[in-house]
Amino acid sequence: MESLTKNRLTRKSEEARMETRPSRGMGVGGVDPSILRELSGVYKPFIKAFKELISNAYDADATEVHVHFSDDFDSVKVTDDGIGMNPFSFRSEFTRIGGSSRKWAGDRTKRGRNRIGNKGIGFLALARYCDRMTVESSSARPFVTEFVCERTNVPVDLCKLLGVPIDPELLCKSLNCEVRYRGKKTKVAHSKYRIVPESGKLTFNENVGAVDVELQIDCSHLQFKATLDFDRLLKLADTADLEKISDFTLIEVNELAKKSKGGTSVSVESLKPFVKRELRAERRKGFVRNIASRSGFEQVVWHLSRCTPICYPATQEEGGRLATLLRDGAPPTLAKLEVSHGPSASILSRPVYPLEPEASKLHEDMIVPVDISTGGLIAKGFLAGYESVIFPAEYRGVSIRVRGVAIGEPTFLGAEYLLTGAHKAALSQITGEINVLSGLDAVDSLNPGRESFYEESEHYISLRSYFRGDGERIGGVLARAIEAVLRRSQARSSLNHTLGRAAYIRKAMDDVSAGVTHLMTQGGKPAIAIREMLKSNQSHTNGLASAKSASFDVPVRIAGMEVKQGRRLPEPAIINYSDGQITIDVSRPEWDNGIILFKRRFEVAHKQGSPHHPIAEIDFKESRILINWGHPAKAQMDEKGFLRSALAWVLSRTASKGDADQMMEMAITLLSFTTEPND
Amino acid sequence: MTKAISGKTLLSKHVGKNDRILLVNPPVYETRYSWVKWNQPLDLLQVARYLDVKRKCQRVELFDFMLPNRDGRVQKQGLAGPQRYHEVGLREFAYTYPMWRFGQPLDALGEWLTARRAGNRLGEPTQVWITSLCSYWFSSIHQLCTKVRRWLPEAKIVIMGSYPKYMLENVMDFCDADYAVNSDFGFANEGTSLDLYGESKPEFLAVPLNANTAVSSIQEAIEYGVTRVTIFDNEDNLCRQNGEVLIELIEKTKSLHPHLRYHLICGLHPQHVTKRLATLFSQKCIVELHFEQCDKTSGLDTKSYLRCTELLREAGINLSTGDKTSGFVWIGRANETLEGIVENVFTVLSSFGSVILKPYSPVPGTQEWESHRDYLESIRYEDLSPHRFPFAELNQITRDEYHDLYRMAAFLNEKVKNKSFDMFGSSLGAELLRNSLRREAWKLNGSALRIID
Repeated sequence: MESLTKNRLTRKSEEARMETRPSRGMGVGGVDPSILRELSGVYKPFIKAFKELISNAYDADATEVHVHFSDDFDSVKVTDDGIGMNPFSFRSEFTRIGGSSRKWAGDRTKRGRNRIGNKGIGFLALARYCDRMTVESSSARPFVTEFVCERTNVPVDLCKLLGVPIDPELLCKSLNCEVRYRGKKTKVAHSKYRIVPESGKLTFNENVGAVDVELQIDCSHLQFKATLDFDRLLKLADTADLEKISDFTLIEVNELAKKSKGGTSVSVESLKPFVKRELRAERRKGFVRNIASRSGFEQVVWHLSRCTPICYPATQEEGGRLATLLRDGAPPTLAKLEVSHGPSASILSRPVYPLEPEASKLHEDMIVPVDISTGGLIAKGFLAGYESVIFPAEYRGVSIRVRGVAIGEPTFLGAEYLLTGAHKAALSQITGEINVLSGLDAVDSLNPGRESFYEESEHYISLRSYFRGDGERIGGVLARAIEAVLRRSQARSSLNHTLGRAAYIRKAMDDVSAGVTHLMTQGGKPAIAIREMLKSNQSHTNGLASAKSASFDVPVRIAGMEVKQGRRLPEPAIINYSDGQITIDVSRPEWDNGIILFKRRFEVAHKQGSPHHPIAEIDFKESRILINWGHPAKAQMDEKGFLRSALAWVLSRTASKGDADQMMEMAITLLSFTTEPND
Repeated sequence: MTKAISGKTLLSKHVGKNDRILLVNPPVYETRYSWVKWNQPLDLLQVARYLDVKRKCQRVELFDFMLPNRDGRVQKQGLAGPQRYHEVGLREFAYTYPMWRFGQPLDALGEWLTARRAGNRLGEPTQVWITSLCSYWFSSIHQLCTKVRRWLPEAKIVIMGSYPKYMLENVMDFCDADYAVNSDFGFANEGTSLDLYGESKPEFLAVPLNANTAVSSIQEAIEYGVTRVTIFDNEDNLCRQNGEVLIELIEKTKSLHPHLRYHLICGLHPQHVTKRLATLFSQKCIVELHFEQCDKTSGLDTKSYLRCTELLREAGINLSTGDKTSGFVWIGRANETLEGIVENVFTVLSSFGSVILKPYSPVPGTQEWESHRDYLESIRYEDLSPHRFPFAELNQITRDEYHDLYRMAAFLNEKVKNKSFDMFGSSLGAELLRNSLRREAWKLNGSALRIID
C-alpha cells in the first residue's frame, strides 16, 4: 500500500504565493532565513551532516549506496537504489521543514526498517558545507493530495497549487481528479467541471459551492532534477522578504520513456573551502596509531562507517560469542556502502574493535554481554576489555547505536568523570557496542543532530543505570568490565613479579658461579684456595640446617589464582583466567636452585634462620649452601644483593681460611663479577 | 675430570646413533676483533656433515654465538665487573684494554634451550661440542662450560679447536668439560653445509681449498640463498700447486650462479701468484684479494711484490685505489723494529693500494715458540692474544707505539682511498683535519719500492 500525503491548502493562501513565483522556482514553506540558518547548524562537523544522505537512502529502503568524491574534493555524489521520490513528494516532504517521512509514512519502511529520520530538517544538513545540492530522482509511487476549494466560480491553477513547476499537459496526462461536495461523500458530476490541458486549470462549468478535491497523480513516468541553492539561502539577511526564499530551489520535471525503477542521486557541489581542506589533509608523519592522525579522507571514511547503518565485518569471529551478541542486537542494514575517490574504492563495514585486524585477542572472560529490556527500552550488545590499551584511541568507549546509527562518540556515559586511578586507567582498555532495538529514538530522547541523548529522558536514565549504575559508585556492566580488566592486570603484574624475582635470584647465583670460574682461571692463591675448598667433604653447618625454609619456591597462589607446576611449557607461565589457574614452567633455569662452583654442583637452600645465625653456611657433605634470610643484613639490601653477598661471604671466608686480605679480594671479585652486563 | 682425547677416538668410541649433538661456536672476549664478520666455525660445519651423513646421529644442531644479526653486524658489548678492563705489562709497556664480548651473551644459549624444550618434542642434547678458533680465547669457554653443565647436567661437554690443541693442560685444569680434543678430526678438506643455520642465514659460506667438495657445498649454499664464498686452506696457502687447486675450484663453481662472489681473505702469498692466477683474480666474481706478507731473510721480499703487482696490473687489476686488493703487514712479531714495520707498510701500500696491519701471536709448539719459550712462559695465557702484543717487551716497542702504527696505517689508507674519517662528514673542519693528518703521515720514511725505483 503506497503512502499518501494529505496537504490541506486554502486557495487564498495559494493565490497569494502564485503571483510572484518564477516559472521553475519552488518554495520551502515560508520559514524565516535565520531559523533555516540555525537548523542547518545542528549538523556538525561535515561528516555528521553528510551521513544524513546515507540515512535518507536507508529510509528509502536502498540496499546499495555509492559515494563518490571528485578528484579535487570539490563535490561528492551519493547514489542509491531506494524507492526514490517524485517531484511532488520532493516538494512536500523532502524540502519541507518538519516533513519527516516517519510522520507521513509510518515508523517502518516497506522492508521493515526503523526509519532514522524523524525531524524533517535533513535536507538542510549540508547547507553550511556546500554551495549547492542537486537531487535527481524518480519513483513509481503515485502522489495523492486533497484540498478544499471554497469558491468554484474561479478556475484553480493546479500546477501552482501543487507547488511544482510542471508542464500542464504533462501533469494532465498523469492526473486523476475527483471532486466531492464539501463535507459529503457525494461526487460532483464530471460534466460540471473539467481540467484544461493547456493551462492545467480546474474549471467549473457552474458554481457548485464549496468542494473537496482529491488529486491522484501517476508519477511512474516522471523524473525530476532539483537544485537547492544553499549559498543563496544562507546569504539572505534575517530581515529578507520571505518570498525571496521561494526561488532558492529550481526544479525541472521531465517525462520518462519507461516506467521508473526508483533510485535517487544527490550531488553535493562546490564544497566549502574548509571542508575541502579537511578532506585533503595529509596523514600525519611518523608513527601513527589514532584515526585522528590519518589523512582527512581516511578520517571521513572511518567516521562515515561508524555513523551509518552498515554491516559488521565478516571475520573469523563469525559464530563466536561476540558475533552472536552483535547479530542478536543488529537492526537491518544497508547491504553495501561503497566510498570511492579517484580510482580507489572501498566497501565500508561497521568498525567494531574486536573485529578489527589490528585488535589483540579478545578473551572470553573479558566479554560482558549487554541485554536491556525495561520500560520500553530494549538494547543488546557487549562490553569488551583488553589486557593492553586500545589503539586507535577512537575505539575506546562504547558506541550506542539507535536505528543502526551511532549516537555521538563512544562514551562511558559519564563514568570517566567519576572514576580515578587504576579504575579510570582501565577505561582505556574497554570498548563496546550497544544496539538500541526499541526506545531512545523519540524526539525527546535525541538531540536534533543525533549527537547526544537528552539526559532527562526516561530511556536514557534506564540505559545509564544499567550501564554504569546510579550515583557516584560505578556499577552495572561497566563495573564488571573494569573488574575483568583489573583482574587480568593484577594477575599479570603479580606473575611478572614472581617470575622476575626468580630470574633475579637465579642471576645472583649465576654471577657468583661465573665469579668462581673467573677466580680459578686467573690462577694464583685464590684459585688454589678455592680448589682446596671444593675438595672438602665436611659439613660446616651450625644450626642453620634445622631452620625452617624461606619461601623462594613457586608460590601456591598468585593474585588469588591457584598456581600449578608444569614442565616444558611454551612460555614461562600460562594463565587460564576461565579456570582461575596459573601454570608455571618449573623446568626453566630460573627455578633451578643449583649453583656450579667449578665442576662441583651445590644446591642453594633458603632458610629463615635467626638473626644470630651466620649469613650463610656450606655443607660440603650434602653439597648444599644454606642462606639465612633472617640475617639482619637482609634489611640493608635487596634480595639479589643479599643472596650474592651471602654467597660471596661464605665462599671467600671458607676458602681463605682466615686470610683476611685474600678473603676481601675474593669477596670483591665474587660480588662484582658478571657475565651479562645488561643488569 | 676432563679427559684428553683425539678427534678420531671421540668419533669412533663416544658418538653413537642415539646421540643428539649440539655444536657451539662460543662468543669471544677480546679487546679488538677486526674480522669478526668472517668468523664461521668451519670445523663445526665439517664435523656436523660427518656426524649427520656418515654417523647418522639422531640429531645434530648448531648454536652460533657469532652469527651476525639481520643488519650484518655481530653483537658487541662491553664486559662488566672485574672483566671490564684488562691490564697488560708494566711501566712504559703497561696498557689497560677495555674488554668486549663479541657475539651473543652466554644466556642466549640457555634461552634457546628453554625455547626448544617447549612441548617436549625434542629430546635434550646428549653431547655439547664447543669449538675454539684461537687458543687464547678461552675465558668465554670456561664460563660457557659452567653454564652448560647447569643447563644440561646429563650432557657430555666436548672442547675442540685450537684451545685444547695448543693448551691442553689449561683445558684440563680450568674447563668443566668431559673431553678435550687434542688433535684434528681429519676433515680439513671436507665440504661444509649451511643447513644447520636454518632460517638464520649467514652472510657467506666458508669452504676449504678442495675443488671436489667445494662444488656441492657451494651448490647447496646457492640453493640456501648464500652467494658469497670465502676459501680457506689448512696450510694457509691458497696458491699451492702453482694455484691450480684454486683455479680449478673457482672455474668449477663460478658459473653456478651469476651473483656468486669470492672473497680471498687469507692464504694469498704474493710470491706464489702466477700469470694464470692473476688472470683469475681479474675476474668480476673475485671481489676481495688480501695478500699475506712476503718475507726474505731480512725485510720484505720486494722482488716478489714487484713481480706480483706487475702480473696483477697486466691482468687488468687497478691496484692504485686499493678497492679490491690490499696487503697484510705483520706487527707484534719477535725482534721487529718500528722502522722496519713502517718500511713494510709503505712497500705493501705502494704495491696493493691498501694496507692492513695483522697482529701476530706465536703458535705454541712451533720453532719460534721454542726459541722464545722462557720469555713466552712468563706471560699469562690470555695475554698471548696478538691484540695485546706479547712480544712488546722483547721488542722494546710500547703498546702505545703499536697503536700509533694502527693510526698511521689508517692515515695512509686514507691517502690512497680517501675514505678514512668519513665519520666527520664533508665539513670544512673535517677536510682540514684530513689534510693535516695526511701531511703528518707523509713525514714518515718513504717507500722502499721508491728507493729501488
